[in-house]
Amino acid sequence: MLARRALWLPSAALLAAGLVAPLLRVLAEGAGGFDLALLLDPYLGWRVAWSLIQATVTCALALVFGLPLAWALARFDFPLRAFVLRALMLPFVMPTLVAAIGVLALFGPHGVTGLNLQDTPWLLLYGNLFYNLPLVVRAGVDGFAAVPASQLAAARTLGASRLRAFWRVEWPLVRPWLASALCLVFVYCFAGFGLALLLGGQRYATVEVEIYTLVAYELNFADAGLLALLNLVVSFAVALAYAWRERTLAVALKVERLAPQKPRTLAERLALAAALSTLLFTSFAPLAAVAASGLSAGWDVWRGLWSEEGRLAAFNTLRFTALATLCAGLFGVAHALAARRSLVWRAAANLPFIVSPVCVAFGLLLLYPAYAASLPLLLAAYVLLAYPFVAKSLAAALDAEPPELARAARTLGASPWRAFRRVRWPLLRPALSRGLAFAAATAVGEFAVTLFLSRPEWLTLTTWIYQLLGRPGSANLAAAQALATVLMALSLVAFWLIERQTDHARTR
Amino acid sequence: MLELVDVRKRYGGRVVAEAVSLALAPGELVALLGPSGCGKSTLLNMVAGLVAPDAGEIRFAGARVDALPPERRGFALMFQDFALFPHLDVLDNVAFGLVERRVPRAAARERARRELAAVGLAGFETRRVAALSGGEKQRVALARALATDPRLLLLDEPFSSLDAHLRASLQVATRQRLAEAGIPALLVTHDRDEALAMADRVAVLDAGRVAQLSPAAELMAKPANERVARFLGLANVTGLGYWPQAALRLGSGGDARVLAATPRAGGLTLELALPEGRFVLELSAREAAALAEPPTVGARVPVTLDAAAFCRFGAGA
Repeated sequence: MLARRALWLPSAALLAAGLVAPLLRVLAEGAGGFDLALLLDPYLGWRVAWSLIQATVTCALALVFGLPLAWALARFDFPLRAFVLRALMLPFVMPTLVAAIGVLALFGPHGVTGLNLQDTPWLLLYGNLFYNLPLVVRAGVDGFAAVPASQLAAARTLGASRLRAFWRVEWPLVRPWLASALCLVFVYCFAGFGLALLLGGQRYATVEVEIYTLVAYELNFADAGLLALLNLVVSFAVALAYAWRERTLAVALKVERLAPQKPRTLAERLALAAALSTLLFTSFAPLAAVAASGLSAGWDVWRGLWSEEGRLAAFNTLRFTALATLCAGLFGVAHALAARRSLVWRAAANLPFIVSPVCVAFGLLLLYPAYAASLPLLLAAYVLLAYPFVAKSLAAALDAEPPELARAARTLGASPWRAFRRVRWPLLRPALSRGLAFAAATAVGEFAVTLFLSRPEWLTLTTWIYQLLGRPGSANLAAAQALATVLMALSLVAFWLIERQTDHARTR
Repeated sequence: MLELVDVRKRYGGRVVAEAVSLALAPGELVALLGPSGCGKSTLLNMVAGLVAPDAGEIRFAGARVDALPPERRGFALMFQDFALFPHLDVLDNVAFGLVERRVPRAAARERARRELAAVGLAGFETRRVAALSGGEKQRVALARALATDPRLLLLDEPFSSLDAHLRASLQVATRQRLAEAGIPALLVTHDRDEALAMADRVAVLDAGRVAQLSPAAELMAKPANERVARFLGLANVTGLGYWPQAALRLGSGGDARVLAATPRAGGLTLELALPEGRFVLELSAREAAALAEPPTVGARVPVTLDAAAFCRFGAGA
């Protein structure tokens, strides 16, 4: 049983050395040069203010659009409904660079709409909604689905109109789901890096981008430290609120759910059409734009990708992804098994999700300057960002495992190992594959940490896209768009793998 | 065959088994009857080897089995929710235990097919278990348990998730199938009628002890004490004993007032005020129809109490 006790060691070491220690180092850096006057500086002050503003506005927009959208998806039945509900997960596996290029392809300087929104706040807000509207809608649909049909029926028979029933029965039940989703949206937007770097421009970039600029171009660690400190304080405060909310989400499993109904009146049809169009516009249009620009790029552009640079980037992306996924699998399995006994440990798996990759990378640079350009450090950062997907997916599957099944196998003559091999493993495998696919998608699309820690010879597909975007000329833009199409295709493969495993789990 | 000697088990301060002793004869079906949460299932899990007892011995055919892991005991357990394996089809579920015993795959499937046919599920081989009805699941679980030729079958409330009508027919079918196979069985249930319908003998569990062990036919006639009598749902129970229905003589004079009348499936239950006190009288439909005055509340019914018929607890049990 010593082996079982030691299961928490690998991920504990990784979290301590790769996350907690670097963050503490960042905090020390920020507190050491602590000078509030810096915030009074109009330039930095505006960065902080805008980071808060764009996160708040995104939350407000996501709620205003997301609530009716979630209601429509939860209550109306329409062709391809199951497909749309699953496709809501798609943005989660899309690299930020793909989304950013999609947004630029629509509303950038050479966008297909002809509407150039560069150097306005709208590009970033649009990009934020691409990721976060589906998150809120997803939470809302889950929340509405958890409303027992009998409670709604009771409200209606007690004299409540449809609207009053929504207000007095559905809304109070859905509110905690939305609140917890909005906490996440706020953290993601506030600590967002990739989108803000590409879409924010000079004026509408966020604190994260500023940290990167200060560190990478000005070597001004003191100011960067202060900003990172601010960032962490805000992120952790919101993450705590999230954790507190999350506790109150009780999922009653045996609730008789309200079956979605076909829209009957014209008003209902219009409402549904409006909901689906909004979703198409925010979360699928950018992807379609990427695909369109990539496919129309022409043969020369595609052949140009197969340069020495391109082969290096592809090789590195594959190499890092393969290694990171493998390690994420090992750490994730160990963490999930250790988390069976401890709630704290279970919560620890969320830690890499809430801290910003930029802060972690900055901390790693500060803490291990000697290894700043070493492959193990870069890989450790990849694994740190990827392994929680495996840990969480597997931990959920372990929770859902009915204990009688293994017992039944034992009474039918199976030894503990045989019971694992023939009953538990086949039932856990889909969850593991799902987690691994998520981890791989994370590694493929990783951008922030790679930009911080990478050396020129470690060019990956994402950092190469970023370099291409920085070079002048339409040829470079076309190459970046073609590359983004490749990345998107890789992410779609990951998404397909994830959904296939979900299917397996669902048919049971 | 199976013998429990002084088996004890506690979870923290909760007593699950306090010196439980019990013996099963070959081919016998014994029911463990007790209220929900009294530890019946834990007792079954201890026999199966899934839970270790704190003290006591479990023997089978004279040999101790306490130290054996569940897979080496040769006892099959049927779970309350059947615990069918969702990733295997019906046939592979039934063949599961045979594969564990290294029966070649073709032979295992052939045997599994015969077991399925024996429970009336020929043709269900390739179905997914999620697509089965409750009654079909129960029969697959029975076939799976019996396919391994277990030395003993353990049944953990195997009918409780089924509706009443289905339950009755499956109880009969299961009992028949067990008799054919000649396997001793231990059935855990909280349902008195199920215990009576299935078992040769019934052990009533109370607070971790066997409060009464008697043949099914005698269970209702000779309850061991007041708690058992009340748990079994007997009427007219006092601290010392109870008045059987035969003690209430109908049509022999007397003049009892009806305090309450409740119809039931086979007749009518009356609450009567007799000179000796209040009594519950169960009338069959025929008896109720034969009364001169319809037995509504406030009516008079000719009933007297035969004091000699009083049954004292513990007498002859």
